[in-house]
Amino acid sequence: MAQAPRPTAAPRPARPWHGQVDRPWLAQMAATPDDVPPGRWDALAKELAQMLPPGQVLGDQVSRLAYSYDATGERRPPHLVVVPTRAADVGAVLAAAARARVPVMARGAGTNLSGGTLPLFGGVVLALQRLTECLEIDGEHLQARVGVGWVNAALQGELALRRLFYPPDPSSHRISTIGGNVQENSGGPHALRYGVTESHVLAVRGFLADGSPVQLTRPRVPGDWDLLGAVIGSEGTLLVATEATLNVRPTPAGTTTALLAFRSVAAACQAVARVVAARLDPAALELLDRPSIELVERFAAAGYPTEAGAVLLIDLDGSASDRAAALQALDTATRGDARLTFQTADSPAAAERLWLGRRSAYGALAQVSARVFVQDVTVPRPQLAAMMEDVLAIAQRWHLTVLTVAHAGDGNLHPTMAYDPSDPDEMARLARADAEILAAAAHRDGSITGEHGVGIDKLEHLPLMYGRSELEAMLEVKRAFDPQLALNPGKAIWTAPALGAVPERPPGLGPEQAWRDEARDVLRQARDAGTRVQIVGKATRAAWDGASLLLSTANWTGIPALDVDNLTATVASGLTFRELDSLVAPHGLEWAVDPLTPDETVGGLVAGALPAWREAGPGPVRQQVLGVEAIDGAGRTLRFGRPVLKNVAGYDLTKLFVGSFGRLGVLTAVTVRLRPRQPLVWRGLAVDPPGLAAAAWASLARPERPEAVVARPGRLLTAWAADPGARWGPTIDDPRGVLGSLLADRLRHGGRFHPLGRADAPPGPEGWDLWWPLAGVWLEPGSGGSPADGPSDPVAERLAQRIRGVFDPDHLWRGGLP
Amino acid sequence: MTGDAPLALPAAAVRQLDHCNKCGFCLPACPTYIETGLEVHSPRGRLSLMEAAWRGELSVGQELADALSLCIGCRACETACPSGVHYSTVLEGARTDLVQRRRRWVMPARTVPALLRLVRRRRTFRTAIRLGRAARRLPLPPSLARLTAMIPAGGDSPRAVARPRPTVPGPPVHFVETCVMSALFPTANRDAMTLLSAAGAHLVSIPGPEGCCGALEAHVGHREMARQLARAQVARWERHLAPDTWLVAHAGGCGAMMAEYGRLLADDDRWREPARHWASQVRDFAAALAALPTPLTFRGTGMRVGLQNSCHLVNGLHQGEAPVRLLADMPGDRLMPLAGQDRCCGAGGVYSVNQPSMAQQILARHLAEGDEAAVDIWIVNNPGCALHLEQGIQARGGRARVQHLATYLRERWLDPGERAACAQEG
Repeated sequence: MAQAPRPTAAPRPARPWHGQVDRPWLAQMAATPDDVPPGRWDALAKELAQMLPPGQVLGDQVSRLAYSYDATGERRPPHLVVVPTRAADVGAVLAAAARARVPVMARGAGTNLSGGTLPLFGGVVLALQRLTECLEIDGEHLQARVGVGWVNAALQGELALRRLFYPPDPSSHRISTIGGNVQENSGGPHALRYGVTESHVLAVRGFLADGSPVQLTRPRVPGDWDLLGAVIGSEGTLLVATEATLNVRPTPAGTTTALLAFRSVAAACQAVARVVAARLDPAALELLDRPSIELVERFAAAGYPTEAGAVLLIDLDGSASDRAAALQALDTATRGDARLTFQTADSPAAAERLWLGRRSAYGALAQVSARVFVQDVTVPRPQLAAMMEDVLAIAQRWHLTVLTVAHAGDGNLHPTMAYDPSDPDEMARLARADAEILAAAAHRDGSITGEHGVGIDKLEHLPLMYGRSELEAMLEVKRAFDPQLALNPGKAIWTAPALGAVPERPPGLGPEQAWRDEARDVLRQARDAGTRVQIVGKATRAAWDGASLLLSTANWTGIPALDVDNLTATVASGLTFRELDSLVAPHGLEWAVDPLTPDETVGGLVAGALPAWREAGPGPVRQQVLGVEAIDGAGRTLRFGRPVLKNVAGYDLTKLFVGSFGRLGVLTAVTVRLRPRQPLVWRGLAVDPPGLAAAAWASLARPERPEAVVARPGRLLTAWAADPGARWGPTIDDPRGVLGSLLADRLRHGGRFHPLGRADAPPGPEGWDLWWPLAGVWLEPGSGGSPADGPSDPVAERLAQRIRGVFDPDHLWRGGLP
Repeated sequence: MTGDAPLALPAAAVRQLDHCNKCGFCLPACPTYIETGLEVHSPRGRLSLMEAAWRGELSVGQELADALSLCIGCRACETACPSGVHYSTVLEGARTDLVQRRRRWVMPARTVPALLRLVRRRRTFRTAIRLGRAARRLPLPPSLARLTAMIPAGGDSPRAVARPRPTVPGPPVHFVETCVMSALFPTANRDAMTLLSAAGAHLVSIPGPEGCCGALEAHVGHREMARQLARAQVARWERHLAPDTWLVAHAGGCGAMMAEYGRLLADDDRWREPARHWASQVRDFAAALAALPTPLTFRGTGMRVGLQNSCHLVNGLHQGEAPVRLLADMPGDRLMPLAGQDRCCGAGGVYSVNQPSMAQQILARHLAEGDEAAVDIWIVNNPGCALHLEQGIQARGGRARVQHLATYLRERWLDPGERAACAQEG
């Protein structure tokens, strides 16, 4: 039989190992291991192989290639790959790499969409997927301690057996690891109701670049630094985590899914606003535009109406009666000419069918095109429709196919564009369109990345959001953790020496010139006189000490920017809680924090963050603050954060200022997150002290979850948005009367509280006030050592001092710790 | 190894490479990634290696051949891939090039080519099976002992095919007996034919010897041989069968291969269209049974049943749901939900001979799941899986039985007489 010639495509010209995108700025970056003499790699490989079990140090060509890429498709080969199975070995590898002065990049499954897990300059790749030894699920205290190699979906499987779940569910959850999720601050559709990864991480254990072990926890006593808040979303540039302690939640009693079709994107976005205003608190609120619907229907036939301009996919969690009521309210809130259809699904199978279209959107485009580029920007929610129009116009201008799916509830959209890597013209057009989309989002006071990270894709675009001061501060924070810039170099923040070219002033807001002059003036006087500066608001907590120079924010009130539809307000730091409240209350909104008195300033409440009785529901103060603007000890004006719920552009340094007690800088403005005011039902249950802790945790394990849990000797007080009935005791008509003394006590007690409040902790001596907002047990003064007085991590302590030095190199701030 | 040319790939394979977005969604579906946790042994890793070797960035040699040979070829990654990348096209393309190089590093197990030749000669194969069964008592070198250990005890004379008169006339069905099934498991084939016939199939046979479908050849890179075998099959069907005849097999791997003929012969002007037509006529036994006009009645025996679905049935033929439905609906027995039900057991044609330790490691996970669920019977729908599971259970001293789906169903089938008796009891 005649053999047909085998068709063989002509081999492409051999390219050097690099990606498809030209990135000239890379040449400016620090840390190029090309300078490392080749012999050193062999020596390092040998040294590592001696330390680790056999087969865990890979230097062959095939392994190096297999760890050279992530989901961006670009390739940069590492010199060595280490695949450890024991957490302790990670420290040893880091120490050896530090001695050899070579860069190290830790990664999980390598599903990063921004190039965050490309070993840009080679070096050692630490692939941590096999760190799965640790798994402790504590259902009673709603916590899970997990090795970073655990795949998100696999962890969900373990949790589901105990009727628990971990809310962040990035699209990659079937393969992405918890370590990757923590380093990227991953979101996903269900971050809307329950919060992104940042809201769910209680502690991280790992190693610094030099191999020293470190453990970071949430602040335990006022004055503790929230370094963890800065590390989450730092893309592996600050430390290598090996283990994370996560907050988990009871599985909702049930979920109802609804699919609503609208005539246009604008109409769908209006419906989103009405859903939010109606306080439906959906678990997920997704939007697909017309191009997405058409494509999805071609490939997945999910039953989405093809005549629609947009569809909304909504998940409602709760008990059957709650869901029925919510569905009714949803129907009423979204009814109108522009709504074409309204479908609901009650069974998991039916819900899965409705979700099929959303889940296939990426794949459908990927099927019809060579490659797919997924963009990720966030804008204040009311601007979603306008931003989607921007995207369409930009794509049209550059002749690109684009479809957009959005986590509409939090203004996070994913314009997804088809491209062909072998078409240089299309690649160039894609790059232009990409830059224009980012600029449009930044212009709308949004973020250039909501959940995918900066990686290398958005590095050059960071100046759209930050001025030289902010970029410098981020680099200094990086140096505080990693002085040699050895960890994942070239990612997340600018380490290039080209900072000088960036304008100093950040775009957007800015403090009034007079305040800036005042602050700089006081700082200069303090430096000259060798004294310190004390920041005082309305002096509701601590008065001026008389010795330091006084910087009063009492008159820094300015014009507040209230965005009712976005549920945010940006206010000057000198505004009092009472003033803010009177501003938002007419709109049925509130800022869910607990002032000691309503006369406290917003700045004082944020800088002096204390545990709050609302932590069980809305969460701690840090989750009520979306951004800060401050003047630091070096006189720099800094603005971190944006009025959006998802923002992973650069380090989240807002977290450092929350609870900083005036030791980093003076706040000039704060962007706060508002919530619909909820009428609460308070109930008080008589419980003997030995059972109190268990009762408190049991209340938190209810799927309907209380807004507040306060344990006092003999009595458990709980507050609920939906009345759970007499099981939690009779109602209390005057909760403020009961709580009043407790609120004030927080200050009198010096804010010392039990760090965990675990049910197995000793009940405590007679006379303790137990305070249980998920996080703390209050102690009477003089009751002896509290667990919070235990040794804190010395490495974390040292880090905190370095961080303080970043913002206050001359120790000019007195600080206002109680 | 320097001096070896870059990997040569057919244009169709290069199109698939270009299509991979490296999203990583295939990783959790891949049995060897699950076992190793290493990117090299994931589908995304292998595609990247083949791409680099094709671009000339990675030398073609031992390292590459080793990495590719650990792939079972179960195609679970294709089912998981959101972009629809046809992984097996790339893998088989690469293996074809490697085989053609005739280098020492290409084929680690020397037994494989001989095995393929043997399977293709059906009478010799049957004799070899008999000899092998007898030789098990002899002291053999390990590589041979491993093969003889896989031969099922067998020896029973297969039941005759009963051909009850169908109440509703169904479509013509040609039952493809397939090489390994007919040599090792003739009973299962007869049982399948009995049930198909009872369900209304009009069974048609073809004179002369049935050839091999070419699945084993294609998977190890003997592409030209696979194409020859495919042409011969299509020619035979064309000559003897009416165009609306269903081709039904009780071997997931063979069924999936036959369904691939259109793709395999896409560049062959003479055979493209007939190949496409006959590929579309392929049904797996379970899917065919479910689609036939007369529903059959079954009664179970209180067993806990585990299903080891054929991976090519699931990922190649996309008919993996039919056996699940048949088993889930069996009154009296209980289908245990096993995490690995649709995941490859590690048999993979000649894979268990080629990569014995990985094959055993993968199997161990499945058997442990079965033990945990206290499974009495493992149901299989591919001969390789039957052999692999059987020897694995024996080696562990397990008590579970392995049964072909057709035999399991045949034993529980209530023919019309029994059904009437049953109704009277009830």
